[in-house]
Amino acid sequence: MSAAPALPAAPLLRSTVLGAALIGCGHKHGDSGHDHDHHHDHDSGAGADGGDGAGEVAHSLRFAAVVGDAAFACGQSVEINGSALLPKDLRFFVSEPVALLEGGGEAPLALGAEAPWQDGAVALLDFEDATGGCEGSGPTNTALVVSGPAGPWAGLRFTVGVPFDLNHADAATAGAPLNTSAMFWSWASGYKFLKFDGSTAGMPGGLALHLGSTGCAADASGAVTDCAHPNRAVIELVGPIDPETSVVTLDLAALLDGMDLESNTPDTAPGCMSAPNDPECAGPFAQLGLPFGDASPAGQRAFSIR
Amino acid sequence: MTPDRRPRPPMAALCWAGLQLACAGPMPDEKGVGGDDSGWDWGLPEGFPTPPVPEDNPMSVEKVELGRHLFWERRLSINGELSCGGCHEPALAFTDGRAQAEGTTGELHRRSSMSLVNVAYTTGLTWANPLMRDLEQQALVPLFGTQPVELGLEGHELAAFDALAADPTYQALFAAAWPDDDDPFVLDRVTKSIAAFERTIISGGSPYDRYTYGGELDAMSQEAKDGMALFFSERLECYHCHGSFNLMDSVTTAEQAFPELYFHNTGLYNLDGAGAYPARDPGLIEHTELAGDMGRFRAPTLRNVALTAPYMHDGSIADLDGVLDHYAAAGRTIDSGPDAGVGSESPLRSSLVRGFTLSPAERAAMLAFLAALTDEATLADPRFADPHSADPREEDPG
Repeated sequence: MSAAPALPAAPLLRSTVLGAALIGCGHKHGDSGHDHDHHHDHDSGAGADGGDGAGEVAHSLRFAAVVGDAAFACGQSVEINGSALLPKDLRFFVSEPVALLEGGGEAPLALGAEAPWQDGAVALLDFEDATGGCEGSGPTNTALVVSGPAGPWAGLRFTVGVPFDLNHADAATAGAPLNTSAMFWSWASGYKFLKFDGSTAGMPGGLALHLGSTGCAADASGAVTDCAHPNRAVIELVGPIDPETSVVTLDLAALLDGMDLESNTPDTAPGCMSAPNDPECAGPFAQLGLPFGDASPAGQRAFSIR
Repeated sequence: MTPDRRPRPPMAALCWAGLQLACAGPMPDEKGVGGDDSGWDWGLPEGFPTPPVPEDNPMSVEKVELGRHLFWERRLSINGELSCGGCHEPALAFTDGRAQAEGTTGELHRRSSMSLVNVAYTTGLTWANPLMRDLEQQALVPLFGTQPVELGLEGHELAAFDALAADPTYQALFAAAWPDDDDPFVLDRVTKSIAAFERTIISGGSPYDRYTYGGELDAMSQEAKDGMALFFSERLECYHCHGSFNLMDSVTTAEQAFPELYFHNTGLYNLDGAGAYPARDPGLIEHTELAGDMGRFRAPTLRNVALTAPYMHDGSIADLDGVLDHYAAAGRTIDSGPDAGVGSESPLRSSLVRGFTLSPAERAAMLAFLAALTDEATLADPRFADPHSADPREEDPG
């Protein structure tokens, strides 16, 4: 196997004081119904000065996908669980980012509306570039554009997933990034929160990790009211974060740790498509800190700050 | 959902008994939930209620015509080989004659293509999905689904829509159907147009309809009439799940306040004595994750059933004789192999699947009745045919 490419150097990210202009972004964030909570938390935050918008800073929070120490790359075969895995796709939705503040408290980070990757409530991070066997859209997106308190922070929390109301809305009329058809999860009236596809020698036809809500119930009109397994992974990363230089890193080797990549349980989806009875889901669900079967969730291990 | 519990009035049986008023259409002043006020002429057969239409997708002649073109458009598949109509052929009552549908890349679906006849009235589209309520939403599954690939358009729809936008035929069709749009070549317009077309596939001209609703006393043979009496009898219980004007129970009409939606376990499998279905397709439980929903599927319409073989959600019964055997035995017995089990001993089997014995004459009568549900004229209606070639059976060399 050829040497894995080194991680590209992190670009110098500039933070810009936006001042009052950010109030507009905060309002756009409000569709999920959480904006009031956010403002409340914000006011109690140690780093806040008490005024909405004032002192808030725009950040381009960098994300990366790696396999151990190597960067994730389409067409770059990697060794995971003793298998040579050829990745084909890696994308995931992020919502509800929150900065954990030094000295306690937390502050919500407003997701800007940055078409086509963010709509103010949810962002799509996309690591496939449609080369080397990847079958995707081509353009990548590896940064979350947020506004919030200046760094450094004591940590970061975010959700891998689409907020409930947006998840079960009409996909055919949704705007970007929720119009990304590769992320549609139409059989369950929702979206894939995370989509990984790849292949191995044992599963040349492909295996998947598709995370999404299951066990959803509807009212008489068919509107989804509740899901037994929401499967939104809340990722909390505690440790010093400089939003200008830190990189939120998804390690595919950690994510897929414990997942059989060479064979599939018969009569289940190839890999894991979030079915509660699919043994191949146990590993990645645990790595994301999600409950699965009788296993109570421990902390997630898939994401880290680097 | 309260499946299996409430016996439904055999609407058709009431009509048959001469109580035609009970089956009359809606009163003119009734404004139905989800009704369509576009003035669309459904051309409804006698006795049929008005189909529900989503408020944001009113019917129009132009939209339906665009929808027909899109329904038959192979460029909406990843390799240009399959259209919606490829698995829903009018001559087979909009099914494909296969046990398991085959997607555009050759991947087999675990389930059998369902008839689209009278699909406008169906609650809970596809075989076992309580979330799938309208055709616009359902269209996303064959277009974009990957497990299995049906049309395989995931991530490629923009290129496909661009191709349509460059086609003068579609330029005219889209402009006529969506006159207020600056750019109608978008997913929402495609799915809405296809859905509008599908809603027009209404069948009510079978010998059964002409006899029951049309008063043509000789439209059905005496043998078929004998079969009809058996079908609507408490001895066979068929009509509980295959009642209503549409010969199924999960029906929505424009006049109904609440849609009806039921799922049933018919004892088709019983792998473990506890009612287990094969893990490849356990039915409703896949959505609800409730143990009691193992093996429960929605009853399809029996209209044109003589043309829709093979039968059941997985096409595992080859012909109607086999279907009668299954219900007569109160569940299918499979002697050997991975699916072996005695369906009649399933604790999850619907209490309405009780079993019965048919004499040879009665069996022939049942088959005659089921054959009398075929509406040849509707299935041959040129309004539903592939517009892309003069002869739908002719393969496009491109």
